[in-house]
Amino acid sequence: MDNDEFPLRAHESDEKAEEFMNTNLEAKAKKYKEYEEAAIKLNNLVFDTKDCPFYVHSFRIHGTQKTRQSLFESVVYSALQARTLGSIIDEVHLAADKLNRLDIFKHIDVFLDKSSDPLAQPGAIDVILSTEEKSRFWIKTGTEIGNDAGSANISLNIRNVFGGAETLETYMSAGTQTSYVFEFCLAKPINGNPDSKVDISAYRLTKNNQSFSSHDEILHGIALRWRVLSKLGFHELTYGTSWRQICNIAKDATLSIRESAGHSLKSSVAHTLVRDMRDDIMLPSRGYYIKLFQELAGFNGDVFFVKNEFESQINFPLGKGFIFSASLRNGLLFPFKTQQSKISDRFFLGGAQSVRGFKLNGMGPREDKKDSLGGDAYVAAGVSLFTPLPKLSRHPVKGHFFVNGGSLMQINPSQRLAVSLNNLAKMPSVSAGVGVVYRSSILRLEVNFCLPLIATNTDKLKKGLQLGLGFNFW
Amino acid sequence: MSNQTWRNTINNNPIQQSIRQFLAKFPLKTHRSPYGVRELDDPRLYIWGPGWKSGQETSFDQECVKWQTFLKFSKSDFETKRSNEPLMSPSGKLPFLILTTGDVLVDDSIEKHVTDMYSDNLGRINEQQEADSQSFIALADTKLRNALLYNLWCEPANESITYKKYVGHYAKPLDKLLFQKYKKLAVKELLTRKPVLNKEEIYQEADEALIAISNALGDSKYFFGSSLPTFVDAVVFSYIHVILNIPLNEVQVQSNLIKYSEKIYNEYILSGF
Repeated sequence: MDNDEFPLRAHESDEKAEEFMNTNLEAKAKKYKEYEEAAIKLNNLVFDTKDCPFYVHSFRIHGTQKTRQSLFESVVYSALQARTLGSIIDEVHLAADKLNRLDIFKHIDVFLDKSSDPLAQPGAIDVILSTEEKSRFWIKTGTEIGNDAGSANISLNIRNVFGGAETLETYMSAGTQTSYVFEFCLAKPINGNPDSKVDISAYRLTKNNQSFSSHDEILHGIALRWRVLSKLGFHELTYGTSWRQICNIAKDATLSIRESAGHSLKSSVAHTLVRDMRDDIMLPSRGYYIKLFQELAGFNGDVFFVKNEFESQINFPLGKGFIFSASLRNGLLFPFKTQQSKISDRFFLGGAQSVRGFKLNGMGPREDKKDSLGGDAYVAAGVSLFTPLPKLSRHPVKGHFFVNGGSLMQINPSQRLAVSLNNLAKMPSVSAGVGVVYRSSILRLEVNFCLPLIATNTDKLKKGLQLGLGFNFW
Repeated sequence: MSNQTWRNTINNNPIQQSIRQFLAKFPLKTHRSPYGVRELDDPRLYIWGPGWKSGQETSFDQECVKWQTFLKFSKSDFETKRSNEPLMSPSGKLPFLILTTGDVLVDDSIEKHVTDMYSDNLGRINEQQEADSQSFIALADTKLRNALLYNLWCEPANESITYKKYVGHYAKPLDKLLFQKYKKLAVKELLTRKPVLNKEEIYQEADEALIAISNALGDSKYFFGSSLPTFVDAVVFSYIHVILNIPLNEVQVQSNLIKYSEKIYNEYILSGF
């Protein structure tokens, strides 16, 4: 809006100012009306002509410095194929949206114009994209909390490395007790599609598992990933090799933990499908979540297994702020060619974010009171009822009643699989409780009073108050 | 003190007590875990193995042979397990001994455990002999160890057999990686004692050490004429046994030492397994 006429000197009479305001408002209203009419006219024009034969004569892009032409060629390809005005507008719009989501431009403005080329055929259109590239380097820092540990991380990023919307990320994270991570990742969209990316990464990770399993694990690995969005959900296909070291065995570690120390090389392909239809990740009120994971290890290296995992959650609003939530998870690790699975590959169960009423990874196989050995098969399920709290209905705080339970077993390779799985159903550990849930902007906090109802004598129980901090709760 | 009373008041609070009593009733039902407690029947020595020659129960690693032999001397009950994985050990090196109590012992603590519990089966030596014994051990642990480390890790001709024994069981390419790592450690250890690694000099010194040890032993069954073996016998035997069994040996072992090692092998190692 032009404000040149606005009286800048404040001492001029109020009347004059009022008069100005009135005329200005009128002028504004008039202008809006004109815009509206013009927009309707344009809309009608476009609608009337949407099936007329048009074609894109030229595609000009302003404001690019580093971005390669080939990236644009693949993004605008389908717009160049369009032969009616309607489809040209749609395709150009789609292309602009794709470019936007590649996260390399600050803004993208689209202009369509009758071709100015004297040699152009009738119906020729020039498309002009004016863009401004985002800065190349950026740094992100953050903190994470979950599974009884906090960590701080920093990532250094280079955007649009080779001009094809590639990103190069160097990520470091150090945690209070859980881990130290260093990752180097180069990602590239396929054919300029922001929903389909390949990336190659190299990482080093140190996990401190002393608190529940008396060892540290050091991983070095490389992975090639393809992430793509399909109608089913988000897919990730990974081929990776990792060198795992189980080391720093505690002095009083269980014998089996000591014997599992050593080096192993896993080479595997894995597929993950996530379909997340929830309205919120941390404290959803409706929608469902499904995750499927399959992994086959043994291409080279000395680790051979098939691993399957399934996770699901469903949430219903019951009205008046009541929410019902149910979850079911299971996993199966089936080693082959080897007698026993490796501890790095096994499942662990228990904890405020997993099965409440039990300590972190405190369920399942163990030889004596001390160390969790992990299991090859598990089932876990839970139901929660979230209730509104009096006087707090405007805040993201809810009352919480839950019953949850699970079972984790080792598969004895000498037994039939059915026998091992049968044990899983026979010996569930179950707990129930009541508490309060608070969803802050960055994490979910739960305080529950937990009562284990059924347990195995080796389970590590968490009776009474249990605190949960994190993103993912079951 | 006040802290203590404060805590006591809290803990003895009737509400707290009734909560505790209430919680003690849970869980309402308890399953028995299908996984039994794994306990060792006998102490177990985790070693590198099997030996250089087929059928040998002694380790191919001198440190492992030393402790194996010393435990054999003491006639204590123990079993050996070929783990071939130094990361299992608290010291990062094999061997280590796990007692039935669950305690994990390495190096000197194994010696202490054996001499405390089974000294009756070991020879007794006086203070002077003890001092001499320490000097022979030091001689072996420097001169003979130098030659052994050089032979295993620095002789190109031996690379393939050393590789096979120490890292051959790992998946590729971890084997190469770990081989380089172990080699680096061996060279680093050598360089702490020898500023320059001269092959002839290292073997020459080992030959001289063996002559000195051979002269000290003479024709007696064990060192210092003892009727029962002592720790120095375990050390000397371990070096001679490994040196004699390495496919490409470069040092001269005197005939009395060969006989000595054969006797110990037959009497203690072979009979025991």
